[in-house]
Amino acid sequence: MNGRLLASALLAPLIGALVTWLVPARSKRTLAWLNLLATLISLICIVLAHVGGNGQQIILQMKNAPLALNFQLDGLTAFFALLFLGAWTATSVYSFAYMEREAANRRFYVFLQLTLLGCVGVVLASDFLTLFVFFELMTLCSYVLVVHEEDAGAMEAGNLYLALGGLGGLALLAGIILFYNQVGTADFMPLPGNVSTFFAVAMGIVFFLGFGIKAGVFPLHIWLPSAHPMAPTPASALLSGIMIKTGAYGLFRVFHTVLQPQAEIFGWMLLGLGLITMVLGAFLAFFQDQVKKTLAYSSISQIGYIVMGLGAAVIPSGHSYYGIAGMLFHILNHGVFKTTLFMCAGAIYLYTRNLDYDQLGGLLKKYPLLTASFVISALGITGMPGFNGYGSKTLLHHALSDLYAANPTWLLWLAEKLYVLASALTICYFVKLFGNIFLGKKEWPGLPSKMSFSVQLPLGLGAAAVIGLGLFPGHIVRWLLIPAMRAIGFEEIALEHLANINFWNGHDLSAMAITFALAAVILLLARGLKLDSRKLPQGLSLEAIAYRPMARGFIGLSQATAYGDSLAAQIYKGFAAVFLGLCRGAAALDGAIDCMYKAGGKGLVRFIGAGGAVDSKINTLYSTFGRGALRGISAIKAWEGNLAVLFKKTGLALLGGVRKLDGVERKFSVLGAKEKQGKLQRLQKAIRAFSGRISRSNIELLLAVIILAVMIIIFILYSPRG
Amino acid sequence: MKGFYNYLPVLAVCFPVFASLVVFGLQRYSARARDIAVLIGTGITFALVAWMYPYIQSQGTIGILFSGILPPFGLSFSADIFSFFLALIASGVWLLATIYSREYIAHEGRQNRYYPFLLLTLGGCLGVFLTGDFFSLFIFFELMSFAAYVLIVHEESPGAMAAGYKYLILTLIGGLALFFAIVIAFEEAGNVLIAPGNFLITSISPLALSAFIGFLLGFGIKMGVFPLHIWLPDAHPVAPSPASALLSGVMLKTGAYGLIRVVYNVYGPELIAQAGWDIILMVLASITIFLGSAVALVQTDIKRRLAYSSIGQMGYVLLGISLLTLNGLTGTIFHILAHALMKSALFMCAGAIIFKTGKREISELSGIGYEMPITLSVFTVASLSMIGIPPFNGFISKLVLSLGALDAGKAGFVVLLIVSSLLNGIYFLPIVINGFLGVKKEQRIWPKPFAELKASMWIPLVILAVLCGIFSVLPVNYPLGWAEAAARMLTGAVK
Repeated sequence: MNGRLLASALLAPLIGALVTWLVPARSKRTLAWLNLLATLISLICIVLAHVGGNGQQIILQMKNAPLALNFQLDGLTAFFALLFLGAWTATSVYSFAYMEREAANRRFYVFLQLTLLGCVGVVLASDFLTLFVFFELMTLCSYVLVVHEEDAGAMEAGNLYLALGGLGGLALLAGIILFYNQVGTADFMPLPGNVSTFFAVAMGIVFFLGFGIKAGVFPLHIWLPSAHPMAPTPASALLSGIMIKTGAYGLFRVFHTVLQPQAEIFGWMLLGLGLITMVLGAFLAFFQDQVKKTLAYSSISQIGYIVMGLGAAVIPSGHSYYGIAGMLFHILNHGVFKTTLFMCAGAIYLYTRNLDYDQLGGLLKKYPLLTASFVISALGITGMPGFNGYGSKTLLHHALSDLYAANPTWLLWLAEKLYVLASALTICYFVKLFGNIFLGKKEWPGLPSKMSFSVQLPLGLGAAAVIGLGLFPGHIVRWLLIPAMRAIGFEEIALEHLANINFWNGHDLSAMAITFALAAVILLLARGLKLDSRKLPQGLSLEAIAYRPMARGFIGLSQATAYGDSLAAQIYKGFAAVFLGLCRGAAALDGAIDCMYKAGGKGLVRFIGAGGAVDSKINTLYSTFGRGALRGISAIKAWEGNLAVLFKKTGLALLGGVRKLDGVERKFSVLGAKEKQGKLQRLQKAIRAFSGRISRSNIELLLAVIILAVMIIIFILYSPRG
Repeated sequence: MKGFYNYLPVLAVCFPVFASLVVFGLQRYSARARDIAVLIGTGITFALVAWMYPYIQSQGTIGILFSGILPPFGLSFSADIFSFFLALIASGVWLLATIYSREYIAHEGRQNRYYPFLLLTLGGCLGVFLTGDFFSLFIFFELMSFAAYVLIVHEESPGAMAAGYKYLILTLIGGLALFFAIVIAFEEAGNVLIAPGNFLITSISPLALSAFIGFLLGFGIKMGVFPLHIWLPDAHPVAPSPASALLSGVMLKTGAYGLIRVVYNVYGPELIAQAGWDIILMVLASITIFLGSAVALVQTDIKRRLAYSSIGQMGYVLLGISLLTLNGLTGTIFHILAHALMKSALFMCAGAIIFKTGKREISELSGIGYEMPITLSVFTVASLSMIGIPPFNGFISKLVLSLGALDAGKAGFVVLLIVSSLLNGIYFLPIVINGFLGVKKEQRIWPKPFAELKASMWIPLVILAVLCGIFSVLPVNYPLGWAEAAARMLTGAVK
């Protein structure tokens, strides 16, 4: 029963996509309803399966297939699936109003559903091959969401996304193949000890490429800030809030479960890259001048926190439960507030048709609910106590300081400081963002005073979730995180310790206070140096420095190969020329022989001329004979003529008799004879036509029949006997 | 040798040859009767091939030797699971291409020449798969090659004639090399039967090497292996599209079939490994894979791009042969099916686009997805399968091949396969993307909308696309089981 519920949770988006594609209705509202319905069904199925099974592991397997798709629902996968589906439901409500203004709604919803299927499938998969199948589905379908606008910018961002997404998929596949080859199964399990370090490290690197690109970890993040803002807002909210988490999930499975023997190397790598991603993302976010771009860079920075937490948990010397709990909690939190923030940005765009900093301002008075939702989510992301980011950032901070306590090196000391710096920078860019959008004296006379309900509802829900998660972090840890961590085999003692954490202690609160103070200093400095209105030079981007030259080199290599290929053709032509030369030589020889033959021929002709003289004499002799014969023949002809006259006379007499007979017959003929004759004539004509065709003697047909007969005879005669 | 079923391979080979004569005769009377006869002929051939399945399951090998025909050697027909698998692919794809041809060739003209030769080529092709010794194989190999020439030059344009000439010359060279190799094998063993465990050449000698090179030339030219591939990118694009689909999708595979038989039945994998000749194959395969994919990238003509892509894909097949592992061989045999399905679908889609618009340049095809959604959707599915994206069958063959490479301890080939996949992505996806996306209504090249294909043309396409999806991760993927059984039979591995 629970297995069936799990199957229906996966089938709902697939069927939803099919129905959306095929349904004849053209109204955008109907399509949006279908989308919401499918998402809700999927959500309810997961909830029922998880609650109905009391949180026990549910396994769903496809049997007898060469590549069986296997799924499992346990504490961890349910945690991810519920987060994904919850965010998807909220954005589905939101897209009612948002997509009203966009074109190609049908395509959008179909691919939104398929992307949902991909995302949910990735986390529910119970082995790497199943995960890969859904990972690729997600990558390809979300591409369509990215290029939804179909303008030049979107296409370019989409190309970059697809190139890196494809590269990541292939790297992932390479990792899976290596894993399968070494272990003999694709299940999530630790590498056996006998696998060589070389293979393990190679596997780690390709897996990191595969999942790291999706997650947006430095230096693989370059596609993210161009692709996420391009999609229509409901899609960017999901791309940024949810989809990058599949990458984080994959990194978790690989580096926490599979590569345990190599934990030392990769733990430090993840920690370092996570910190760089955190600081770099926050730093770049500060210099953006467009709302969605800022939010996209902010996502990169936040993924840095998640990867950092994973790294801290993987390093063997620390307390891994802090890192994992912080990572999971931050995945949940980021999902909530980033989705809400993107929806706020979308609401701004929906009414003002603009997202640039210098065009916005003064929206505080216009839309108080929007402002409130934005501020609450921003406070969540900055880690203000009482809002949700506080809980996860505190856990992550604990993970880092514990690690420092276990091995006090200057690198870890620096890491802790960088962590604080990144958090402070986060506060800075949100202050800048808030100031540019909501403050100022710009008037908006043309705007409707009230936002649409389908926009207000998810914004309100998002803000409520941020506060709810923020006020009761201890409950979240006990209810959601501990079951998830139990499912991946954490010891009960560690979980016990985690359950008893008090988030509201002076130490953690003062750490946050320090962060805010640092942020204030940075802001004042930036204002003083007028840094906040500067832009970074384009040429410094990683894309321009590393990725484009690499791509160019690759294409160049292909062109070189094509040139090589044409050279091969040239070589063939060369051979042909040599061959032709030889042939010409042979032809010259042949010509010489020909000359000889000709000379011989002339002699022959002369000889024949001599013979001809003799021949003409014989000819005369014959003609004399011939004349005599001719005379004889003419005599015979005359005699024959007489005979012919005799015959003619007899014939005429006979004809007269027949005519008389015919006259008698006519008298006896009855009416309708004419009709009969007509029919007869038609029949005769048909027969004549048919026989005509036959007589044109279709040789091929005859040949076919003969050959068949011959074949049969041969087979009968020659077939072995006995 | 009693039992009717032993005659099934003979019937399957002779029936299309006979049918081609009937079609040649029928065309005098009515074009309709001719078209129907072609369809029925191909359909019955397919049925005859499929009919063999239960007997092969129970008997292992079925077939018969006519010792009186072709006196010293005898003409023999036989089918085991491997031959059956390839014959089934060939006749199945042929049937779909024939259905597709009706509309397409009506547009091109000269059906009266096209159809009989189409059937004749099918007979030759099935003959290659279903014969029991190398001399019989050689006869049908030549029949197929020369009958296919007529299909290639169908348009009779100067380009087609030149490409056909090139094809003819290389086919001649290949045929002669093959004949030479078979004669050596006969001299060594006293027979040329294709039977498991009957290795014709059992020691390494200069003669054995020259026979190997002869076989490699003969089958390699047909298969399009570097550096013998040069006829392929000229000949495949000039043929009418259904014929290109068959040339690329099926006929290339006769070369692969022959090479597999050579490696596993003439020399045996142990001897090949001992002599180190698998290295020759591996090097050629690597070059072919990279060259095919890389050169396809810079082609601008859609059919030429597909032809180069075929070269790359045949490199995969050669790679699987050269690995000499069970997984490698399974991957190769399954890839033969996968490539037959996807490449025929791609060529027929390209053909449909050319048929409707007359445009072949890839840059001129943006926005085509709005007018021909079915065609481009099938193209998309086949391209994704080509790149190796799940859940399509190209993914399975790539996966199994990679596992085979790792079994052989050669991890470098996994990288090669992945680079090639990436290249496939780079040259296929832009066609799909520009076809469906990024072109606003007012910017479209096609100002007037035109209708999608007729059902008789799109149904075969859709069937191919569906098969690409079905024969992959679903439990109904019987062909993978057959491929594995064939590989087990050839390697002699016990289950």
